[in-house]
Amino acid sequence: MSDNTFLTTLCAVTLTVVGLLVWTGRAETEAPLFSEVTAELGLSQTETTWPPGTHALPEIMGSGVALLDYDQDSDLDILHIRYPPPRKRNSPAPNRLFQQQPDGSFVDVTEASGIGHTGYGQGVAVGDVDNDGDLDVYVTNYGPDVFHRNNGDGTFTQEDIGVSNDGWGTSATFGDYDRDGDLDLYVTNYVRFDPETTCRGKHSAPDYCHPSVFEATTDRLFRNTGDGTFTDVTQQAGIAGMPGRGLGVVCLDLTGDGWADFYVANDGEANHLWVNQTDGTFTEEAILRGLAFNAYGQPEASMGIAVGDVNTDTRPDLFITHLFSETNTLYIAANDSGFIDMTEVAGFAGIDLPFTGFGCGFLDFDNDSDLDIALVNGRVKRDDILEGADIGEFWNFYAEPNLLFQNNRTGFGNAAGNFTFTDVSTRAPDFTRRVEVSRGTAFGDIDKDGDIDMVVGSHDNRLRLFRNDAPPPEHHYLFVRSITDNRDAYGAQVTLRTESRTLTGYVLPGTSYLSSSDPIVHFGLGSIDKIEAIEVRWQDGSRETFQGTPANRRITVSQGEGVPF
Amino acid sequence: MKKISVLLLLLLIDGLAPAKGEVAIPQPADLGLVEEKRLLKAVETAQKAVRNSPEDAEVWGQLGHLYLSHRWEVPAIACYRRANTLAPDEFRWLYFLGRLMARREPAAAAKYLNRALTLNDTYAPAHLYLASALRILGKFDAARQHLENAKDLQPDNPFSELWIGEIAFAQRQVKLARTHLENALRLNPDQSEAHALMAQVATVLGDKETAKKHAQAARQPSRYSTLYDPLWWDVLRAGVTAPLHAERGRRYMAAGNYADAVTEFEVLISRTQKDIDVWLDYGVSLLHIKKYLQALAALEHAQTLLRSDEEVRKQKKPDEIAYLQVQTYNHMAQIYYETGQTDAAILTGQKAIQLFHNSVRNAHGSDKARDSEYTTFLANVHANLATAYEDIGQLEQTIAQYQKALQLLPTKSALHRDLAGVYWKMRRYTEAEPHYKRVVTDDTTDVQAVYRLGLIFLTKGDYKEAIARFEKVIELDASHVRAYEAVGIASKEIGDIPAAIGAFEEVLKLEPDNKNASEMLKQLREKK
Repeated sequence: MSDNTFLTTLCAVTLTVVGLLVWTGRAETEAPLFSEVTAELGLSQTETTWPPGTHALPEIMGSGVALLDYDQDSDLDILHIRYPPPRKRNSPAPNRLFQQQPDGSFVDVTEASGIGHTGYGQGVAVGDVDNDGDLDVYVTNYGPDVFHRNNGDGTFTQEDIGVSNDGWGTSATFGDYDRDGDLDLYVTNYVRFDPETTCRGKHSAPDYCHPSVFEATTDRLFRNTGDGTFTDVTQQAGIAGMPGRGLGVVCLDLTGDGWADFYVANDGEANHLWVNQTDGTFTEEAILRGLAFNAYGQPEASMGIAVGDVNTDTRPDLFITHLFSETNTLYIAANDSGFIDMTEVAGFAGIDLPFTGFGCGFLDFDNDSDLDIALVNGRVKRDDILEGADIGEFWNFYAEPNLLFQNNRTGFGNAAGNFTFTDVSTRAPDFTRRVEVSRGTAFGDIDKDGDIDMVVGSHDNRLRLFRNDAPPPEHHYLFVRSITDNRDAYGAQVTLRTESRTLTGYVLPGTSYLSSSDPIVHFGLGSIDKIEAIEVRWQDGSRETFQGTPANRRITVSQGEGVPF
Repeated sequence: MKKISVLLLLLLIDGLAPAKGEVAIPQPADLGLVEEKRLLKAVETAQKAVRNSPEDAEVWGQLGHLYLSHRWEVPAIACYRRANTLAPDEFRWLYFLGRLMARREPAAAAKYLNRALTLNDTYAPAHLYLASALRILGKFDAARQHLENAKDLQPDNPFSELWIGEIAFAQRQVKLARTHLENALRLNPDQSEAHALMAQVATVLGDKETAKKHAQAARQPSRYSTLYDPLWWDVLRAGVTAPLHAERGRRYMAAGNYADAVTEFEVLISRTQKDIDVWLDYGVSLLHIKKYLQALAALEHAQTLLRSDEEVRKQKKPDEIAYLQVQTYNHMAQIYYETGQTDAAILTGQKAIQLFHNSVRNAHGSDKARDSEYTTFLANVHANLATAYEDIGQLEQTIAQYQKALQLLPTKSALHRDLAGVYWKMRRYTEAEPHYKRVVTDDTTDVQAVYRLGLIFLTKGDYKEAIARFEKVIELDASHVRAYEAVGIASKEIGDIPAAIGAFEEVLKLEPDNKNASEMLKQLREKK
């Protein structure tokens, strides 16, 4: 045995032992916050081994996952977007739809549903584009994207409705930017990838190319014409003038004028904030409003986007995941309609700096009435192997653990408040112990027990479902579904008034990375057991207030049934 | 959690009990994937040195440099830690540990850098990296103190002002932020980071126009002033792969050290080299050290690759290829000019301009963000052409080229000065006047421009204006004989005989044999 082999072996053995000791010690003292229930709920993995990569960029970018109630039976089903393994591009990997059964388990209904497209799947957007009460699905691909219309009987039909996008589509989102009552579609495009281009690191070994090696591309905006088809309005809306390397997108009002804007996370360059001019056009104002760069004035490799009112001032704040050596960035909405990068005071920058983040979300996982953060990681450049990595010789270089941060609940109600987060990753070992290449992540109360669960996709088409076991029984909750025009009111802002607190959430399924979450707004309430009033600012700018309600239930508010104010 | 993993790894590497007589050497995990033999050999040599002298901090540090320069950061950290254990009072190992960990584990980095600064608190980059780590940890006041220290030690580094401004903005001290950012931009006007924050500051202060201006500037790639960090060169020099030779070459170029740049690029030059930037930088460096023939050969080869090598042409967009061709032609024109082949210089310069207009600026999808760079470049090509035309006496063409350059860069003082000089040479004083005025507005200390402006006023009979200019010249250069002489003439013309006498007396003090001054003095004294 050579010196090197001896040392490597010894290292691996010792690391494993020490790692186990660390985790065992934690597990004995505290109940885990999340438990993986993938296998026990029937979400089996089809591929047993994932081939080594070829350093072609698409294979490291992962894919998305959607939590949606496609069959309208009031529980969440799972749509997993997939792609063929490296070196096996002709081996079909259909997207898979898992239907939740009454007992909480899942059954693969891909074939019966007709949604198993076999492209090089990337992202997913979910929305009821024809206001018929069921959820339609748009899937982006490295290759032509596809639209699946929900037939309302458990099946989908792939249709050409004028939303063709031949770029490398990544995240996509539905939103009613023109306030005409139907959902429009924004699709981010990444780069013009050239499979012949190869890249090497500083030590001359081959690796994945930096996206800047490839040409930036233009995103696409499609306007819903209301007759079941869409029109490409990219050019006339003003989006075409500024190509980017887009990976994440959200659609909501970020300027406080009541009109939906689009915020695009670009990889390695300035993010874009397309501000709605209310006449069908947009202007790009990310630099002016503090959302293009980090606090150092530098562009970052932006991937996923989380949206939530972290400091409870009713304005949406943003959390963007980034590359190793860049912080994940927390932008807090300020009084002057701009945003301030408050990452450095949030307390997680020293923890997440070494990781490359992708899927992410603000979620009040412990129902204590403040927003926590979950994010999943995995490199795009080779680095030293971390202990616990066991996903194959090639992929171990890219594997990283996930992270969970708990809000310390201080400094509410002002932009410069001293809100901080604590790393509680060790308390969620199922979610954070595995060292993998995780990507798309979606959030929702899958088991309907009053808290937010997570589903995570990995680079190897693996799906993991994490059940939330965190909230103590004394912590209350409320779910609010907001309906307009027979569909979820995407972009609406829901505010709960209680005796002691004001909490705000957003009807926003299209967040995170390549993924779509449950649009029903979840509120952790802590000890609050009664809501005084519910206020909704609808996507069309109107406002209504609804009667209060006791906690621990699911309620639905419909536009037009409240009291305008 | 990462803290656990990295620390464990480091503890294990450090704490491994080696076999008897063996040294536990940290290994890059993907060393087996390395194909470049030079690097493998360098690793082998550096590791052998460690085995031979395991108690020598220096050899551990050198291995750390080798690893770090090739982006093997984790084993580099382990090497520096060993070096630090062996030589705890050596500033360098603590500095590199801190610098390396600032973007991995800022808390640990802060500890290392604090210790480093107890050994040597005069090394500005250590203060800057410590400030960076402290910022990430949210310790703004401590960070600000180290930025102030760095500013005192290196007043011309723009990072201190920029980061103090950023901290002020994060703390909502908007006006204070603006002051520091303005200072940063004075030190480096092309620092996009400062423009980005200034856009936000101006927005908050309600100045929309300024905000837009800075937002536009923020979209340009940042041009950092290089941080003076001589220790980092120890790391850079350890690199043996092609990207590191290229990086060193470009850093030498930026520092004006073209001879060393040529040495670095020479390692990379071969018939199979397809990195067009390497060929261009090599050619330009050769040009600067006046190795014109080799420079021309390198640039011609670059031109051939750009024109007809499919592999090279695939690397960039058509307008980028065209722009590189234009730049190459411009450098070739410079070589022709320097070697006395003025006609060839003019021909090549014109070719550059033609190609620029056909294929760069008008190219479909050309890069709008580079408009400012394109404008500056094209103006320089016109100015170079003007110089060549002037050399062969085609002054009308010279004027035409300067005018084109000025259309592109109407505020560039040097162009006004050069154009005025040509008009002056052609005795077209009226046309020279506005350009000299512009020069003097921009730089009130430009003696030649002020003097010539005085002469123009003198020829126009505007004696008082003329005297004011000549007195300004004398204020700037008390030995300027011609200015005294001109004051004498102008004063005589307006009848100020005492002033005229005084002026000619000054001439004679400086030039006792000046017959004209003597004669004038004689006449003036007789008049008096």
